[in-house]
Amino acid sequence: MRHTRSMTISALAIICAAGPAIARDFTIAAWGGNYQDAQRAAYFEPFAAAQGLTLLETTYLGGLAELKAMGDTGNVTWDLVMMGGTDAQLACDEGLLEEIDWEALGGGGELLPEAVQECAVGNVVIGNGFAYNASAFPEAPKDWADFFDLEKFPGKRGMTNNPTMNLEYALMADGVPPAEVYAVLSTPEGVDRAFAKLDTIKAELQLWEAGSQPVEWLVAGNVGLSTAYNGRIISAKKEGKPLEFVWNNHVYNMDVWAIPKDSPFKEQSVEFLKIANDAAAQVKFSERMPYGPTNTGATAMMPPDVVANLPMGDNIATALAYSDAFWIENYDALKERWSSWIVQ
Amino acid sequence: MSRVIFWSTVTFCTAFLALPLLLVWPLAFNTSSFLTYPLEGLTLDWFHQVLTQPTWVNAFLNSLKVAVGAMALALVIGGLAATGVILVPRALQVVLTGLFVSPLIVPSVVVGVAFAYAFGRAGIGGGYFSLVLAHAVLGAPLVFLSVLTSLRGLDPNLDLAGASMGASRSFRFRTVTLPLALPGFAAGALFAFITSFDEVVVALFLADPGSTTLPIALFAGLRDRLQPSIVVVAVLLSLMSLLFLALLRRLQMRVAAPKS
Amino acid sequence: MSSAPARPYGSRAAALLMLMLPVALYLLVFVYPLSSVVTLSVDNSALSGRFDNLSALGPDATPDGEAAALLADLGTMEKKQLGEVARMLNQQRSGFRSLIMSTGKEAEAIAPTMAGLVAFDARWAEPGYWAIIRENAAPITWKHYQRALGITLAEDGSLASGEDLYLRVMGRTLVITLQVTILTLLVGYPLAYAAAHGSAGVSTFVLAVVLLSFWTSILVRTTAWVVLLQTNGLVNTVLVGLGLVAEPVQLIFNRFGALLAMTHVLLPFAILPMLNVMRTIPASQADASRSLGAGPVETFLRVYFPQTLRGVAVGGGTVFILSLGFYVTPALTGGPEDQMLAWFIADFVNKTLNWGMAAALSVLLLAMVAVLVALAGLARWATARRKVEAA
Repeated sequence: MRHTRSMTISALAIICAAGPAIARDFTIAAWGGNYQDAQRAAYFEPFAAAQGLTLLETTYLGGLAELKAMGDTGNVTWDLVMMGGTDAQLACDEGLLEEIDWEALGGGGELLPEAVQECAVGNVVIGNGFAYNASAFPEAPKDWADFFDLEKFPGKRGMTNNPTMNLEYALMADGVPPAEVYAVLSTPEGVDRAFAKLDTIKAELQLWEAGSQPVEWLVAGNVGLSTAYNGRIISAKKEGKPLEFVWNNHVYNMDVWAIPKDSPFKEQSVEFLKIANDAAAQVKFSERMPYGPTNTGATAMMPPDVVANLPMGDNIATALAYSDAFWIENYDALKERWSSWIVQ
Repeated sequence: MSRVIFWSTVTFCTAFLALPLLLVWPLAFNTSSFLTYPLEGLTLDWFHQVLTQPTWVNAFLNSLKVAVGAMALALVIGGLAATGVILVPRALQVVLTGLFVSPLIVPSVVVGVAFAYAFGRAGIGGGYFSLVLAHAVLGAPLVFLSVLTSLRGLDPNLDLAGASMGASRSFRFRTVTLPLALPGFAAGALFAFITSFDEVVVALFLADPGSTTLPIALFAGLRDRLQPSIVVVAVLLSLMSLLFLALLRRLQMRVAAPKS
Repeated sequence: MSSAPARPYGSRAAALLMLMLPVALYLLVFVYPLSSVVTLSVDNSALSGRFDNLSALGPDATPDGEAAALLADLGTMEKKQLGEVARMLNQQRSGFRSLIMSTGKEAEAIAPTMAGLVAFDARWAEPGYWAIIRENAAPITWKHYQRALGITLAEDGSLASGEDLYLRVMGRTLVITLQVTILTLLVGYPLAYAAAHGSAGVSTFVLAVVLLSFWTSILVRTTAWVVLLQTNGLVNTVLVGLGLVAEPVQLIFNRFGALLAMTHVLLPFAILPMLNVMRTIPASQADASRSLGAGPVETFLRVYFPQTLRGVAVGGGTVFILSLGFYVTPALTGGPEDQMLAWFIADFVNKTLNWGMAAALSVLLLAMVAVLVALAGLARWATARRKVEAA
């Protein structure tokens, strides 16, 4: 009996001891995996060393739920977050992010113009295209028309379970030049046209959720061709997997750093952004993870064999810049149409 | 003939139930970082990695803290509910029992949405406190049922005998009823602890980075990439379950064993 | 000598005192949050509260009056509120976001008439936008249920069928749940039988396996399947090694993987109730039936099986209810075509912050469970009655 009571008391003591943390560590939320490993080496560790801080890392799974909860409760648990450009814009509009003090960062003139945003600093350029297993086809597929051509390239097709980018791919496969994709997609007929093109491969479609899946499926031969992030494919290729990424007409977008509203470490975050914008640090990142820099000076510092694997230079000559603005406006409706199309 | 069919069916079904876990365990000791057979060699490196990585260690400590808190709270709620319910009229008993076990049948996702919204509005927000509260509600029905079963199994004459000797109600409860029902409380506490320790859906809705629990870390790891540390954590969690099952068996033996 | 009380343990007053804390906590921490989900599914105050001037207008307001009220409302919103309102309205019509954001930022500069609004952005001439705004000026809304049930409100107020995505998801949820229930019963029945009537060694072994499985976390058991069924996992290695397939097959992230893992995870919930019932059936019954000349199959079908039906019903019912709201296992082992209602609920909360839709779908899921529980209660009551009448 006495034993039970003392157990209850110690249990309650544990509850009370674990109340709100008074001083928490600087917390960075990013996409996890190899991506975050590369960021750790290029940015996190130098930053922690320079500031004498202990860093806490966590994984961000996309969406605004966490940021919204932080804004609503005032319990801000992240100090920096790496997010997609679309989500960053939405969060900025809802006052969930700090505005970036570009003066303190030196104006951002060394960055790509798209990287300089109201509440975010563009840091990583990502190539979204398709990849194939080189051992599967005698002749290499070279554009989106080939991706949708089941006769020339038989086999399953991997695609993300999301309308974003897939509708763009479908229109380019149907002959729409990259420059006109969003104009066409802004009309109901354009959306119908994209879904009609997707209908032609629907029977062979296998949808992926995580970026590691296309690599796994292509290597195992589960799918013949799959849309993918260039970074995952190039990394697999470096490990000796027979995969090739098709740069022609790929879609490139940007991942950005943002500071959650009312983070107690705003000053330190500015110092972090200085490191993240530094050309040499970005080179260090790109060498570990084949995504492109936003500092225009970084290109000159990189060996050509690294550049050949990044969404930059010749690789983006025919590419389409992903429109955050279009998807902010149309995501809800098109996502529902996509889900419905999948279930049919 | 029918015996052959029967035994092959039973063997197949048992294998289906048991083999997946048994086959996965060895992969935690495999030297290769790919979770594939055949094993390349044996190593404890992955265990070392998990036990020294702050992410996993913190998640484990968080789970422990949440589970202990939830267990204590569930014990109080469920214990009081059960000891109270046996005293009220039958009709009220049915209604109250329905209320007390209802968290068991409400889908976890709905519970998650409800708690995240209601706690957010009440200003409690996500984090440790809300996790304890939510898991206590999920564990309380188990304590309730467990204690209720053991109280129903008691011989009421023992209490009446105490009363006939002039012992007060509270004294009888403390010295006669409670010690006899103690295994029921203990089993209920075990149920509540392990329910909280393994719970992931509600936790996904409520946890913040500072209170990430082990199941959340495992869930996120599974979606990110398959690596040996995931299997190591699965093995550790299974060992934990094994330990609790053994404890529960001992408790049940104590109940079953004749009192000397 | 004091007289012994008629009731053991304590008085009703003591009982009520003891029950106060748990009942209060249940009401506060469980019943209230659940009921707030119901409120949330029809609550529109997050939007209507931002349109005070528009809400105050009567049904006979002039277009210019509406335009002025809208501009007044938009003008008083802070940037943050404008962003929220724009996001919520955009969920109902693409393009609403930019219309609200741009109009809101310039609200003070626009002439407060319909002509002024249309001159600023021609989209304000479209009645569709105004219909949505007017609908959302009311504090109560059925829009989430309309969307969930595939009903659209035509311009004249009549009901029409619209996008039936969520109805189809509900149908799929029921189909998967039914498949899983049947599979768990098929696999679980022989196991329960072996645990109840096997020799001491067999029954101990089977029971140990079932209990171990029951106590091992659902997430851990799902992990095992993810590892085994992956493209280069053990199952594929064996299949390729035996020459059954030339290349690894896709075993996970599809219906096959989801059903396999869900069946495995829910199996103990089917077995334990069946086992409890089977244990009460004496072996002597079967002996009696056999001695009367019935074969083993006939004995099983006519004597044994009917007596176990109650266990089958309880086990199957438990699996069915648990499976209806399942999230983790299908999310980790199924493909996008195999996601159930719970997945869409979580997605609405986490990805698009659409709490209203998440709440409406939650209420529908809860209603499905409630109907099942009620049916189960009814069945129990009916059998109990039949027994009483037969006696």
